[in-house]
Amino acid sequence: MGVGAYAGALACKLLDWSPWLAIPFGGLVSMALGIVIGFPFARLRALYYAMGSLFFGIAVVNVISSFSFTGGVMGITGIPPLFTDMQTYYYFFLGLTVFCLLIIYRVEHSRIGTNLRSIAQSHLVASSVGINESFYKIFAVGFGCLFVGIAGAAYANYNQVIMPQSFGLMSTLWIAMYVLVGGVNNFAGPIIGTFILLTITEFFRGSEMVMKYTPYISAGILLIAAYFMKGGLISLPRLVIALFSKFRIGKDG
Amino acid sequence: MFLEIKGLTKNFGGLIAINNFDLGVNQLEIIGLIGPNGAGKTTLFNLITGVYRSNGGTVIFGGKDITNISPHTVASLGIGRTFQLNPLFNEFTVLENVSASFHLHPKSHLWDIFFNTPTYRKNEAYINAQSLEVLRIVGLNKVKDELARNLPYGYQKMLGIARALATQPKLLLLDEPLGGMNPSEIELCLNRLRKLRQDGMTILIVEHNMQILDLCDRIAVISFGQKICEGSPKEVRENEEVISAYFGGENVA
Repeated sequence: MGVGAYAGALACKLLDWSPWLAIPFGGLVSMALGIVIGFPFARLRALYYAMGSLFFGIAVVNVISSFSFTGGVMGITGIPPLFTDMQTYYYFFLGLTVFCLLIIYRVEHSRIGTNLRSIAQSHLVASSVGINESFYKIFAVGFGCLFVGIAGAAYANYNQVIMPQSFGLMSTLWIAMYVLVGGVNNFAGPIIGTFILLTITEFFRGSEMVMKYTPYISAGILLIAAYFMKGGLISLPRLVIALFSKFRIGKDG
Repeated sequence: MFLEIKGLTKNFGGLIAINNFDLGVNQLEIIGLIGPNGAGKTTLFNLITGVYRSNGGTVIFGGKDITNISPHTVASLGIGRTFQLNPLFNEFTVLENVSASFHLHPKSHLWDIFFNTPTYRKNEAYINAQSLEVLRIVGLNKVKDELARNLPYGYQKMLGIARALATQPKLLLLDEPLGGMNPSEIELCLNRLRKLRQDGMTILIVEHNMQILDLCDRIAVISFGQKICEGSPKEVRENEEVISAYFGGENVA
C-alpha cells in the first residue's frame, strides 16, 4: 500500500503527472514489486510466507524513510487533489471500490480462482494435475498488490499528505484483522469484516475514553472470531443454524 | 520403450533410498512395483514425477528426458498420479475435484480467463462434460455434488484416480490404490483398472496387496532401494529372494 501511495504521489510531484494517471501507476508499481518479491516468496509456505510478507512490509517502511526524495520520515506533502469537495471524493472511492471488487469477483470465480484454491488445499495434488504452483502464487501476490497499490495511491491523493508511518506494521495488522474477522475463504468475508470493524472505530471516534481502548476492543473481537468462528463473521448464520438443528435433534432423541 | 528409468539414485542424507534403479515400461503394459515397507516405492514415484530431485540417473518418458523437471511439467507431458495417503481437494465437491484437475486439457490462456472470452466459456463447458464422463468411468457420478471429505474411503480412493485421469495421462502412476479398501471395494477397483487397460492406458502400480499381481503383465520387486527381481507374476511368486525379502530369511524346515 505504501509503495503504491508513494509511487502515485511521487509521479504527481516529481513528474507532474495527472492524478488520473498517477493512481493506476501506483497500482502498477506495486504490482511490479509484488511480482519481483513473489519469486523468492513463492518458495515459502504457510507461516513462513506470512512472516516473510509481514517483515517485508516493515522493511519497505524503513527503506522509504531513509531516502531523501521520498521526504524521509516527514513524508510527502502537497499532493495535488483530484476533487475539492468531500462528496465527490466519496462517490469516487465508492466507484473505485465497486470496480475493483467486480474485477476481483470475476477472477475469484473463474478457473484462476479454482486453481488458487486448489493450491491452498493441497499444493502436492495441485502440481500433480499440472497446476504451476509458483506461477499462481506469484500471480496472486501481483494481482493483490495491484489493487492495494491503487488503494494506496488513491489514499495519498485524498489525504494530500503521506508519511511512512501510515503504512507501518499497524496498518498491515488492521488489514489482516478485517480479513480474519470477516472470514478468509469467502469473497464477502473481508468486505463485511472491514465494514463492521471500521464502523465500530468510527462510531467511537468522538469519545476520548473509548478511543484509548479501541486496540483492546478490536483485539478482543479478533480473538473471539479466531477461536469461535474459524470462518469469520460470514460463517455466523451457518453456525447458528447448525446449533439449532443440533438442539432439535437432541430433543427428539 | 515408453518409460525408461536408468541408474536412478536418491539419498536422504546418509540413507540411500533408491540405489541405481533400472526399469522399463512398454506402452499398454501394467507393471506392478511391490516390496516391503520402506523399500523406496513411493520415493521412486516422487522421483519420476519431479517431487524429489534425484542424485543421479535418468528418467526418459516418450523419448524425452524428464529427469528432475517440475511436477506440473511432468503432468503436462502426460503422467498422471495418485498418492498413497490420497490427499484430495477436500473442500471441493467431487465434480469440482475433477474439473479443477482438467487444468491442462484444454488449457485456457490467462487472457481468455480474465476477459471471459468465448474460447474460455467453450473450454469450461467442454471440461464440465468431460468431468462427468470421467466420473461415470470410475463410477462416482451418483455422488458428484458431495464434498470430497464426506465421501467413504473407497470412493475417495476412486476420486484420486479420477483426478489423475482428468489430466488425460498416457501413463498412470498409482500409489497403493487398494490400500485401506475392503474386499468388495478391492474387487470393484480391480475391475475398473482392468477396464482402463482395455481402453489403452499404461499403468505403473505400487501395491502391498498381492491381489494386484494377477492384474499385472510384469512385476518388479524392490527392497532397500534396489530391484531384486523382475518377471511375470508367476516367476516372482516363486523367486527365493522375494520370499526372503517378505518373510525374512530362509525357511528352515
